[in-house]
Amino acid sequence: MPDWRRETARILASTKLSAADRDDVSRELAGYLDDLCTDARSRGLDESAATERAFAELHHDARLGSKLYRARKENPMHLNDRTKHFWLPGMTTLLASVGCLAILQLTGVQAEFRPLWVHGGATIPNSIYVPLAIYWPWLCLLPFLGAGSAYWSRRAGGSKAVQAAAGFFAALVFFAILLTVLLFSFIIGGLVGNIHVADTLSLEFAGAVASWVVIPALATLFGVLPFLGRASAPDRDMGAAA
Amino acid sequence: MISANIKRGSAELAILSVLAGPPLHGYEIARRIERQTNGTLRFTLASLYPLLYRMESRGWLRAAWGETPAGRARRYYRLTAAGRKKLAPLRKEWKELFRALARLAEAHHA
Repeated sequence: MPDWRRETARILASTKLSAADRDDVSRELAGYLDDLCTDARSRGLDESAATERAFAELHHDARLGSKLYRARKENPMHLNDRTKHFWLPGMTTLLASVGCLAILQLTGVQAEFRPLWVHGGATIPNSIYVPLAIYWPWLCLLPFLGAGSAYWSRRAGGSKAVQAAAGFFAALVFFAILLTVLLFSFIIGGLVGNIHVADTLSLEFAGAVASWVVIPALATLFGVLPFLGRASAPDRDMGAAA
Repeated sequence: MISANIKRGSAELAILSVLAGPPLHGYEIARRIERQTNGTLRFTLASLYPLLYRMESRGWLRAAWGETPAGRARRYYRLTAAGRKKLAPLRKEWKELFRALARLAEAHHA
């Protein structure tokens, strides 16, 4: 029986695989050829015919070495499903959303500042003032960005929940940022001993959440909503084909 | 002529399907597919290993060296959670495709 390790190593010698990879692959291919020979002999072939069959399989494709190299090196370029369905559309929407806001601010568009009053009642003794900052042109863009993100996710095969998450990604990130800022503010406020910081921060936090999370999410909802009732692209395409 | 994408898609489905059971090494995968398809699908060393490595790189398969009952070292492949997740929709898509093609063929004969 030939030395299959030597034969397979010869096939891989011209590839750019590392020595360790080359050793691993040649060992595995040698095992395959060894099994092929054993199997062929158990089916009644003599040793030379079985060896010939294994050699024929090894040399069947002249580009085997380069194919194996490309397959082993594919990993860094591959995007998994979660990246395609969620992260790519979500991150792109977030960047587009922040970019649009920055452009609007650079062009001199001002936020409309509105105080939101929550009037006192039986349980709340005093009226509460919540400061709101509303960028109307930006809010008008958000349904389109949300729709674009949900559409991208749907085309990539994302489920309805993933499409919605991709659509609302920017609002979710804003909320996470605000929560982090609030947490650090409380910690710093506690460290410097400012006992009034909690009340002030709570009101400002409520205003910021309303301005940068709730209202933008509602605007985005107009864009995302039409996608939530539809089947994803592969399902629809296959349905049409059937 | 069958396009490379269809060929690769069907080969991926075949490999994921046989690996839904216990872990197998390369030669076992090839023979099991051949046996279960009555020889319709046949893998050679050159068609099998590049695909196995690609599927491993994508995280659908995980491989580890082990020993056969005869004490020979072989690299055994098994499905990962991502591979199992990939298998169900792939099966559905191929079933739908074959059903559609069958209808098309029947309509042509009618």
